[in-house]
Amino acid sequence: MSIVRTEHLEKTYQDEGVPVHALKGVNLKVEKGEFIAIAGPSGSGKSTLLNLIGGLDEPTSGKVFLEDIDLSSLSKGKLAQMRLLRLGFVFQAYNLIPVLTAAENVEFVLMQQGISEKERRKRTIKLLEELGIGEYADRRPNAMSGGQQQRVAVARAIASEPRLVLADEPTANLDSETAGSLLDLMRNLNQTKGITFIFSTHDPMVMERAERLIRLKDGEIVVDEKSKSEM
Amino acid sequence: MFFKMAWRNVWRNKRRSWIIICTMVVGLVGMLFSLAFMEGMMRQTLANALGTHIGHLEIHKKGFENNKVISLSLENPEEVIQVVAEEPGVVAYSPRVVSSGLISSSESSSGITIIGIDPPKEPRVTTIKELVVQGDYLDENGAFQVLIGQGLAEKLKVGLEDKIVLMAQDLTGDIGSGAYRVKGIFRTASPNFDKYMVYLNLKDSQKLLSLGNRISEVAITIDTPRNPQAVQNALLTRLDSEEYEVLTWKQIIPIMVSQIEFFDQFIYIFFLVICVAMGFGIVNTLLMATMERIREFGIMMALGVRPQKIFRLVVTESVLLCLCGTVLGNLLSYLLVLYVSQKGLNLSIFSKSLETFGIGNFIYPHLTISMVLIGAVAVFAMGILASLYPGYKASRLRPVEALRYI
Repeated sequence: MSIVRTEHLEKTYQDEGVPVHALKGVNLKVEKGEFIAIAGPSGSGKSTLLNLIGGLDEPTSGKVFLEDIDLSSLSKGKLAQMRLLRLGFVFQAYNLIPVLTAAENVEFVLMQQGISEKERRKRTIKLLEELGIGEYADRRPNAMSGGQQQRVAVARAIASEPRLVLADEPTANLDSETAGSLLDLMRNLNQTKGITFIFSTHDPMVMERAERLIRLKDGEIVVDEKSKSEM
Repeated sequence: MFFKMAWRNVWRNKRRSWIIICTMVVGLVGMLFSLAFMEGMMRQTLANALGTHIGHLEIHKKGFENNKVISLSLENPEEVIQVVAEEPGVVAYSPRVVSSGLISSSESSSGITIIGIDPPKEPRVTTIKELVVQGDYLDENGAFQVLIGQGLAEKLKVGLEDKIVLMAQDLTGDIGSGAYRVKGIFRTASPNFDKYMVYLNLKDSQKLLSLGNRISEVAITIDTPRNPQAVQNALLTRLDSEEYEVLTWKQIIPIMVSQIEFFDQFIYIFFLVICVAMGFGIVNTLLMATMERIREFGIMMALGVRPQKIFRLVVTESVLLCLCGTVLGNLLSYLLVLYVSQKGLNLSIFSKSLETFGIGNFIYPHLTISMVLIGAVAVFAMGILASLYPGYKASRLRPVEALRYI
């Protein structure tokens, strides 16, 4: 069973009355434990594809299956529950909740899952320490660097032990050293915890480290290749 | 953590939150102070009306209230007084003689109401003893003494110890008269009352009107003045309703009941206007706060937060804002009312109008627990109502659009 499967996925936006075809019949299969980069120029449909896989947007036509569940068959509430229990998101702009501390941002997801306060706290602290940001647990996002914030975002994404993490240009706002260490971290989580990662990226370093690279152009997959090391 | 988050969101934009809290505080203080002012005014009106003459309940011979003639007097007052004294709800009572008559001094004369009272008993039912501003109250056994109002004293041009003559038609139809000395001069909040009421010892009035031991009425103070019906019913079961009438103050002065009802309705309209004005302010602020955080709501949705929880978050933030406004508003209202109620609000420039309502120049606002509760409930209800639309808007956002929002 694939973790993600898309069938003839199409998405068309209306831009001031002019239709824009962001995705044109994308067929994709992602297996559990993969570490995939989706690359392509701006407007090629990378973010759109991630949004559709994450159930944040609805396709114009075609279907998305997450562990064989057709997302179009789910209500808003069920979709939210699916995201909560099975998916993690990492965004380009970190997108932490500004009024919560690092630990609270991570705990927030666990709280939504109904996990007890004691257990939440324990898991959060352990996770933040594993990710090397334990000392920032009680800091609010505005008191942390971009790299630290993105690590908190990764911690938040994996706190609920999801099967799949979708990361939309996670290194775009980071310097190359910080980006490299973040990628190492995610690769490590992929290998040790078996979490599937799908990134959208412009960053050659991300593409290089991915075990599978998918290139999009004008809403279509033009390249889908395993990295040399994986072959 | 949900409340912690809502609380921190409230204080994200301190200035804006304080502005809306101040709006609520000003509104609430305005509402509560007005309510306390009205309540104080009503209490004073009631206290003056009931305190100076009218009992919470009055027992007369049947028909007396509509035709105040001495022929309709109680022939067996002891029987009535015994029933009254045995009724548990009765706090005090005072037997009286009431008749119309004429008062004359060497300078002038005037039509008046003669009221014969039992000097020790009357102060337990009315405040007439405390209202004496010159001279003294009637002595228990002092004969040929009268208390007159300041207005009447001025009209008759008499002072303390001056002689006046009372004349009235007695029980036999003859004209009874007697000479009395002014023992004291009283002043109530009602200038009219001061011009027409003359008090004398019950025995003197019975002698003047040839009543024997008859009296006109028994005025009663009870422990539940706002709800006199229960005691009224209890007395009616023990007294012959063919012979006696037992009236509550609401039946004796129905205009007072109308006034209270009018003020009650007026205050609710006032409440509504202030609440609507505050409500628009809160909707506006919450909408601004919601629109600013669209992206954040998108993140929360992406993380798997259900739309209902986003709705609850916005409503909770409004409730917390209202809580701050209510606590501060109630506290300030309490302090303001406490301060003003000790000194009294001097409204002497409206003295003519105030006389119409039978109250003095000073109003003493009175805040009750029920007012505080009404205010709190009104502000909370309005806060929740005002947050429904912004909450709905936030919960209906599409995650992908919300995330793109800058």
